[in-house]
Amino acid sequence: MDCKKAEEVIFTDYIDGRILDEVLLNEVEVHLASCSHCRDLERELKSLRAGFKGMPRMEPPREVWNRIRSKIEKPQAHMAFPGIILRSIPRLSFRIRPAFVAAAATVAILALLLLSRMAPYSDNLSTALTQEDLVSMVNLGDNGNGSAYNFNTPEENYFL
Amino acid sequence: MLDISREIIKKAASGDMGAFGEIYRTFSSTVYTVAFNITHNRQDAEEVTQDVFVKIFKKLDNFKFESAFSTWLYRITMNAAINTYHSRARRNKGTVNIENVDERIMQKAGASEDSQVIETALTEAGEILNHLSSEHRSCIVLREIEGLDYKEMAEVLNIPLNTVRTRLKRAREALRAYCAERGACHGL
Ligand SMILES: [Zn+2]
Repeated sequence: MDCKKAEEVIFTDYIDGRILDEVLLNEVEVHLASCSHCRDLERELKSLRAGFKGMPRMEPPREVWNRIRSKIEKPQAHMAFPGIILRSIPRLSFRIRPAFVAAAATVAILALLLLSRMAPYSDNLSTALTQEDLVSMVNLGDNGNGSAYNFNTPEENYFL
Repeated sequence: MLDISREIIKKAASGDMGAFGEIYRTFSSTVYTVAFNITHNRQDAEEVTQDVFVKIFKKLDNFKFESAFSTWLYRITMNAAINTYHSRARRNKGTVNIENVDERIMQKAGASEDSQVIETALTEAGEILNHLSSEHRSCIVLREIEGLDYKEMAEVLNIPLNTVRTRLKRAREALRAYCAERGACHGL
């Protein structure tokens, strides 16, 4: 590896510890061991990087938050009514869905039980709807969390 | 990179000010620090912080979780800070940036141990940053101060990974040239 190629890598991937290819890493290190020019570059770059590590984290003054609040709360006040309704729709549907589906599943199961007791008139129906159908009906309430009766999300806990 | 739960973002998107306050508490220091390191002006950094949070509040509904929330926030912050920096530079063309000088004097006036640290950083690393082009500066800020990796930088700056590498190399060359010209960069 010559200096040009070595510098290319040292300036970025090498100094940032991004070289995953062991062959390339080895080539750079072999070059560094024998080239004081590239060793100087490595040392300088490391020292440059270290200098920025001490930069302080800064906090905005309190008034900034107050100004942000006043900017975002004013337009809302003007259109509070439609704003509230529009913003509530996704949350309402989220709240209603599991309970609604669970209720629907319960009604379906009760209806099936009732129908099965009305045998022999409903023989065809009760055999057509198998155990598998019952399971899939109950699982209609599954919203991805594994169960229709899962009320463990923070949002659900908040409203329950 | 810092991040925040989906739940908080969704609540804030539906207008919950408590949740939005939590987003502000989590990220305001990052936004303000980046804005200051780009603009080098406290007043501009405050305005950028304000604009960024007003903007994200309005756009939270459109955030689709396709990238990390912090990536999105860094991108909005970087764009706002660079625009502010350029518009001030245009206004100040040919004049000394008096406010920057004031800024340093004010920093020196409050001489607690903490402000000693801030003062040194502002007069050394900060001043050196001030001599880089905004393109190079944004690379150094994201990589060296914010600690983003190349992939995150590519997403924030909306450029290919190879361009990140090229810009970072040029930025480091520029830093090195500036330090060589000055004799040395104390502490750098
Ligand atoms: Zn060499």
